[in-house]
Amino acid sequence: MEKWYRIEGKDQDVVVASRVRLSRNIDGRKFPCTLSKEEADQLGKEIEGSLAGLTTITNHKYRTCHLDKMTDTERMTWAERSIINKSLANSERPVSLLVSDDDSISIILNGYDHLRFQVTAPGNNLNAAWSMADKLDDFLNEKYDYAFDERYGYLTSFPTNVGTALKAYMILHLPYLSSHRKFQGLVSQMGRFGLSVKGAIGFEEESCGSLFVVYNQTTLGQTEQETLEKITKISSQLIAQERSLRQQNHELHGDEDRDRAYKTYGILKYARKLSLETAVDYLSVLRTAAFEGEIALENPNRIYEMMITCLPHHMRLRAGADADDSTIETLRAEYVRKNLPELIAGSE
Amino acid sequence: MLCDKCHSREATITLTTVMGEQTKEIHLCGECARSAGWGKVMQPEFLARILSALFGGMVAEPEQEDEATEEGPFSKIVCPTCHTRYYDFVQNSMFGCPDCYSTFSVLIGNNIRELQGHEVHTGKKPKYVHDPSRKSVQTAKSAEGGEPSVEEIQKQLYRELFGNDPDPAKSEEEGAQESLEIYESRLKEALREEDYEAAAKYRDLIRDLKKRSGKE
Ligand SMILES: [Zn+2]
Ligand SMILES: [Zn+2]
Repeated sequence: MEKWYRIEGKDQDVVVASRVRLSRNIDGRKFPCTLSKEEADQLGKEIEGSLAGLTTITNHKYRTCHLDKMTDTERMTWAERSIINKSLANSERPVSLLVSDDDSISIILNGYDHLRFQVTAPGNNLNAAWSMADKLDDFLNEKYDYAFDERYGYLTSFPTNVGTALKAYMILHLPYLSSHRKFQGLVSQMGRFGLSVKGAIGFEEESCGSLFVVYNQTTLGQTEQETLEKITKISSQLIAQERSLRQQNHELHGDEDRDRAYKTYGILKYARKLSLETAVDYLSVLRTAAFEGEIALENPNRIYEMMITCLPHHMRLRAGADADDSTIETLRAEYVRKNLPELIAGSE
Repeated sequence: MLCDKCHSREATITLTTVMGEQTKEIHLCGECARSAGWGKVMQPEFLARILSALFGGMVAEPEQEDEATEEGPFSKIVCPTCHTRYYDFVQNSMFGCPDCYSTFSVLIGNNIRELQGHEVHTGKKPKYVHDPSRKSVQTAKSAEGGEPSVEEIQKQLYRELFGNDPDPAKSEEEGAQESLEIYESRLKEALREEDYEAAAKYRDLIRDLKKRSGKE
């Protein structure tokens, strides 16, 4: 099955992906954090055992892994892929993780909530992600009564998630807008709509690659559709602004852009060592140039996958626990060289 | 679990108190809690008085001043299902089980409204409910017209005691404490989301609030 991040999506020049996450708890059970290890193990097994129909309902095969049986580095690679968050990656509780063959659907059992499932769709398409999540929700609900309250909605271990317990994310590539002086102002305005903008990838607390995520901060008192529409609407404004800045820039500096695109390509294609920042930022430049048409590449939407794979824990996993920074930079350059999209023949 | 006082109605409120080495839990129904003056439970000395009024010599005066002030009076309220104390919730911004919502609803109602900007869910509802008896404990009870919800008791008592509704009559200190809890919740949420810019913003707000309340 083709991975979701290799499939073209709507508005993919700016929108990398749309993602929806739902948290659910089983009624009459303590939340995972107050369960003993034995109780959690038991519950995890019980739920895992009841997911037999998952393949039929979603049309995907799943692999199951257990966070407590992974190394720290392996867990962190799941965090770098936004499948789990870092605090879960740093815990050693018996958390199970099911991931679909195309990586678009993931189900976390016994994380902070009993069930947390996430669906990602390529490009600008929150509705596609939601309708799969909705289907999955009903499938799981058919097996388990949910902890639900007429007033507070779906009960979650964090009161910041009650209500719909839905988080929706739009991952945007905004190289022009994010370097514009207006950007910080725009970001701080998001709170008024109950939304927030954060860096999408990075290391420690530094984000890189001009990738951002628009997501909802609040979950109570708005329907799922209202949440999705709000994010789609705000994102569409960001998309329009990014495109207009790009257009302006193209008119002013078209030649320089073309030159920069090819130089960037050359460095990524031939460098023998790449630091995280260089790799990710250059890939970001290349992604923009490819969608602008400054450089003609096969499958430019695969660049996002490369940016993720360049992240430290992904590289650490390939290099082995003992590898030093220099070895990792060599390995990163090698990976980029081998996976960089080809120039479309005759376009140079 | 049945109420420890009347032994006839279902207990909805649990009070936990420490007597020397022993921890004693008292389960009350809404009616008995109300007649015992539940609303005053906010203050530890009242709790002790209520407990001794209910159980006579069984409960000694348990509070030690310093411990009570450190943890706050609400820390004596414990979820009967998962034993999460209100104090734990304030520390972690996290509940231990679905029942925590009804146990602490009096205390967190304002916070949730403040955090979320709304107080009532309007979205999807579970498609399947296999065991309707468990569903939506709190509202089901108050809707039946039987036992009042914990929140209603709290509000009514407040009105009886102070002659107005609890909400606007908050002292500055209570308000600051509430904001602090909200910012803590938001900070933790931002960290879970790896939204470091938002996290930095809430850290600043918390620092300012602490500094201000420290000075005054
Ligand atoms: Zn009673
Ligand atoms: Zn509880």
